Amino acid sequence: MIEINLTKKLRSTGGSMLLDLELKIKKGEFVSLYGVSGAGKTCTLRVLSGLLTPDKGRIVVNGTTWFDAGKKINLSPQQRKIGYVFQDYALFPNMTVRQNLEFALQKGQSKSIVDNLVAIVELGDFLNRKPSTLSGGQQQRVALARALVQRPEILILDEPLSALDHKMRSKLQEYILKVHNAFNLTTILVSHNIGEIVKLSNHIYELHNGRVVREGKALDFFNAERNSAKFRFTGEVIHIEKEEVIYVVSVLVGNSVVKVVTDREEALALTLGDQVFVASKAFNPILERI
Amino acid sequence: MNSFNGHILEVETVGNLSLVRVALGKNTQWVSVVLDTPQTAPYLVPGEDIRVLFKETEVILNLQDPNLLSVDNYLKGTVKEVEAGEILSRLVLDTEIGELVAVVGSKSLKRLGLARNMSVLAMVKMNELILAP
Repeated sequence: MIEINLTKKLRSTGGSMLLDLELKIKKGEFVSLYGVSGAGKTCTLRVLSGLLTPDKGRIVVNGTTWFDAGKKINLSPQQRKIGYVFQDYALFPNMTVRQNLEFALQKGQSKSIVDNLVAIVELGDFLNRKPSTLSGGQQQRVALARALVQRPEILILDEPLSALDHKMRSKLQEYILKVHNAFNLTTILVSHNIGEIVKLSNHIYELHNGRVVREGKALDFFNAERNSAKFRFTGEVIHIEKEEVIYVVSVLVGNSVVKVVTDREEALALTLGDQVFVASKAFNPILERI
Repeated sequence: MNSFNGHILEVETVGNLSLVRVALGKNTQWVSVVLDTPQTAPYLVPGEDIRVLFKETEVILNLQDPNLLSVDNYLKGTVKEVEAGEILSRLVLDTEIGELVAVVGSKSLKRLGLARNMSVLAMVKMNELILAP
């Protein structure tokens, strides 16, 4: 269990904001932090990992106090058992994949964990390559493996897949779920991609102005699974066009663009780039053998 | 998308299919067939508030006896607005459950002679109604 109960006054170019958090995350859960930019998501990850010191409050992880303002306890980032993966892979360019992973080992730690991780995220073919010769997805797999070398209890993913294309993203999501389960991790994801959040997490917290304004189970949160439409995908609005009295909205679903006819009010409420559910009842689609 | 609030009156389940009867207004009880049961969708119980969603393009407009068609759901309305295109036309109907939008072929609009203030039946097949709690 991760128990966070703290406040921190944050200053940014847009003025100041009070980060005021009360979170209880169960061990083994996969949670997502969701919200607009500047809502306090990354700051939440930074106070948890010790990169940012709260003004007041406590952080207790599995019974161990990581931070207590009153008792002046503040474990260093190195003492907190956290693996951190950013959008930017931050690998050492002059080291091979294996060297990057082994560099993360603690003194006296057995190298067997490296081989174990290499097997799970399937990096065996790239061990002697330098990061610059790998694709973005392969580099992010190395970063994911490296974050787990020290056997952290918590895995933090801050927009880890934003720089990847859809196919790569989908594959990385599988690896993330694999390591989450294999290492019994408590994983905290920050993402703007609703499809990704629904696919990966059990529980979602929505942050706004430094506070949790809404939380819920992933399936309920976006009110997606809770209707009788069975033919359902998430996608991104890429084009809106008026055709006579109706509107045609083009939605990027995976690698395909689908077109959906909508009425005026729905179309006018949408903006290019919006994440949407495309849904229909199971009765409508037709199937044809290819 | 047309969206109306109502509550569930009755749920009849056979295998994995359920027929859900929903009260939308004083004189409007519609049915929806869903690929769900009260086990897979816990909101499928009598008394539960529910939204009924359907596409404007799935609305059938009819001037005759609704009992001669294999469409289960109908509702009386008065044409409030007509926006006629070459191929498609959009009509707004005033009904007892609120404004309902129908998009129909412009040829049908002409054939039926639909115009403002006319009385018309809006009909929707039961497999076109999406239920959302």
